[in-house]
Amino acid sequence: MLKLILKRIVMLVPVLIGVSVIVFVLMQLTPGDPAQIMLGPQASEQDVANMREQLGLNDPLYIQYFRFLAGILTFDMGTSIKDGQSVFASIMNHFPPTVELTIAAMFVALLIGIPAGIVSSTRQYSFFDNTATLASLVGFSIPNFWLGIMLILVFAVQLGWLPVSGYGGGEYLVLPAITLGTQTAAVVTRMTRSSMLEVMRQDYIRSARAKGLAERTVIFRHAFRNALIPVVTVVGLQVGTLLEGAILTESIFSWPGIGRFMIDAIRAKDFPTVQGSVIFVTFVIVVVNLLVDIMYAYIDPRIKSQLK
Amino acid sequence: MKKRLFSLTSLALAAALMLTACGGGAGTAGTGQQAGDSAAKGGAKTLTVAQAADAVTLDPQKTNDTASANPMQQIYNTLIDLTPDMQLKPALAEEWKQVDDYTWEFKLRKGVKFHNGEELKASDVKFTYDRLLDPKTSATPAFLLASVKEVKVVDDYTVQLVTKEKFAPILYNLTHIGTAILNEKAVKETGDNYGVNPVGTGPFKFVKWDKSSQIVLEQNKDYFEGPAKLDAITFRIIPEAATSVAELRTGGVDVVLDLPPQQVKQFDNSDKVTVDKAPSFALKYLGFDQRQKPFDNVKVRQAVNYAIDKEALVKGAYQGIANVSTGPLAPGINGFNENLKGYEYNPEKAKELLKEAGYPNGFKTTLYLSDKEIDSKLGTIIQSQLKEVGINVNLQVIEWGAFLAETAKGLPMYLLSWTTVTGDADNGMYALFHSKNQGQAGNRTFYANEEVDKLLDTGRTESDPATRVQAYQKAQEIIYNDAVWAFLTTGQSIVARNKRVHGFVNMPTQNYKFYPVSVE
Repeated sequence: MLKLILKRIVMLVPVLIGVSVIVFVLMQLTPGDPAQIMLGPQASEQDVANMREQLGLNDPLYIQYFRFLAGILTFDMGTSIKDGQSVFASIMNHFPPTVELTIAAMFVALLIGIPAGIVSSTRQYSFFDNTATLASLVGFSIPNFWLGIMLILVFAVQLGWLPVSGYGGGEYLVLPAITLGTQTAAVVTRMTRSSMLEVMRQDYIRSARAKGLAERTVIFRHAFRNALIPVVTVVGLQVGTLLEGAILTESIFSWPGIGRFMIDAIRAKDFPTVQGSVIFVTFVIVVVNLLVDIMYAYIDPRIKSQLK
Repeated sequence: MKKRLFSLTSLALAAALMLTACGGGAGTAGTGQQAGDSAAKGGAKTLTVAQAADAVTLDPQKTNDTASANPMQQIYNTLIDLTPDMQLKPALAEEWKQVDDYTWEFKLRKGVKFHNGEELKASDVKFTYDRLLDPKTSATPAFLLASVKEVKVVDDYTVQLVTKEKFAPILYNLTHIGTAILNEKAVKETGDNYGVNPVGTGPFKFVKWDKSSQIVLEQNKDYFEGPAKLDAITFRIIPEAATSVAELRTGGVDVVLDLPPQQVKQFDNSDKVTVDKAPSFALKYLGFDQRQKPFDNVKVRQAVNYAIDKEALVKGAYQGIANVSTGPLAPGINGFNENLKGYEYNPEKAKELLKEAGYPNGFKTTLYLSDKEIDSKLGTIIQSQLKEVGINVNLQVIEWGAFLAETAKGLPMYLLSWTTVTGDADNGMYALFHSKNQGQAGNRTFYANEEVDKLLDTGRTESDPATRVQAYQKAQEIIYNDAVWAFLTTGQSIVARNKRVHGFVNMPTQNYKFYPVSVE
């Protein structure tokens, strides 16, 4: 087990280097001069030249890249071109709200998705199953920003139950979490349902029933645990999707998270900030997937014994 | 089983804790974020203002964007202020006079205190402008004082600006927030972090800045014109217009700055919300590279002017909330020429001019646009109108940064806007039309006309206001007849506010000051 974890951590290094190269090259390929963007159309040629020099944009590309790489190794992602603040500190400022939102959205998704998936699978083609299938389809297809605005109009403007937007106590979290979690809820419902259906057809389920076990025990102890592996995989992958969806959700609810922060940085061609935050988010997603792999072993003892 | 489930749960919890803990050392600006928590002070009169973008920095010398300017207008003062009708009025400088052609003298108001308790002295003014002009600062608004050679302290309350050449618009430039007076001690103490610890002399002082969320200011009790009527102002950053409108409806915010025109109509009959509209100094134009065929021909440029129905742009792209532009400046700017009436919409005349220019069947060209939403709308309408007279336009959208760089090199036809931030014709014309500013410096049409150059120089160096205005009016006339641009629209500054907010003054420069504002 420990070996697996160590191996995965070592594998992180080439992934992060690869991502850093791609991000660096992409940012260089996109047109536009960050110094010009910062100074705007009113600046003189000399001002722009001074700014470029000060930002180190006149150095050869490989020097700029290695400067960046060396920085990351020492947890120094440089300073933002836009506001001169430490990139790492800014990321740390904007990441906790996104974590909060992601966890809450995941909670919403699992709370809806798992029970709905289980019930659907045990009553295949029933009214509930069909409704859940339709709801998943709708939930998966609704664009985030539309759902967000509709939720605001109904629950904040019309009913006045919840605040429109902002960041603060739990009441501010409800609407963004539902907005962000809906798509994942749909995915989890479908995944749980199909995985459960597959497991329910297995011989050992028939044996369990033949033994005379209560249906509840059959479903939860025998079927659900075995059906959980693919669900956990999907949930792990959905973390990436949630972080991506956070970009829109955060804009709608003026949530001060990392998604909005990254979009602003890309607009301003703030190289250090974009590179730093992409590397950071990559790191988080890789770590989450590692945790998911470790979880497999806890859920399914067979995997654990294989690892040994 | 139970044990495993327990470990599973604790693993997940540990992961969540670890991730949240990463944010523990989150620096000063991000701790204790709480939406609108200042409003919870109970009975305190707080104004909550929504704006679409976060400030870049609160150091006036490090940025030139409106999102930063809005809070800075409350924190800082400049030497001179502008009234809504563009008259100069004393601010930190009580009076000023021109000593000789190159020297301006300012008498500072006595007893003005910075928010850190320091008294305003001439040395602070010198420090501020020296910092602004120091190439090491890479100050964004350095262009405002580019002609200043030296800042002299005469005594504690008298300061002189010495210019390299005669520079008449200096007084207008000193009203720009980029020239706001800083406190030497505060800037030196905080160094690189000054932008998140601003200290000014203004009616409100800085409390905290939760990045991407809100900027909170509180009343400065020692303000030199007496304390403001508001106890606090919270600037909330709400990127989505639909969200800020919902906040306005529910009372979550009191004021929405720069409301997009398409959001205005819904408040027509509102008993709670009112929308203030005022003509702004933002001007939208279609530029031609005068060196490139066929736009080197003045008849072609005039034809494009006649072929575009400006009213249709106002209705189609701005929902009627904009004005037709009549020339190279927006009305209200000091030096504006009222005699220019704008090119009427006349496709027949356009066709005739094209024929005379040697393009009886029109021609093909490309109109370059930035990726701003409004530009795409305008572009499509212009495309269909030019087609009517035989000009086939291909629309090409370029990302904003690249767009600025490309226009500086020269694009045949492009859509761009310019806001005359100081309210004076020099700011609205010198960079855009003087032949020495071709390219990057602002003259992206590469227009060169000796007479216009001379007139713009006169406006810059002549201190007699009437002579200046005359020079600018003549220059506008020539530029208008030369059809250097297709003159499209001038904007409106749109501010939506709850009716409980009183005393708000909409400014054409879009520099909003909340000092006179009160809430019921």
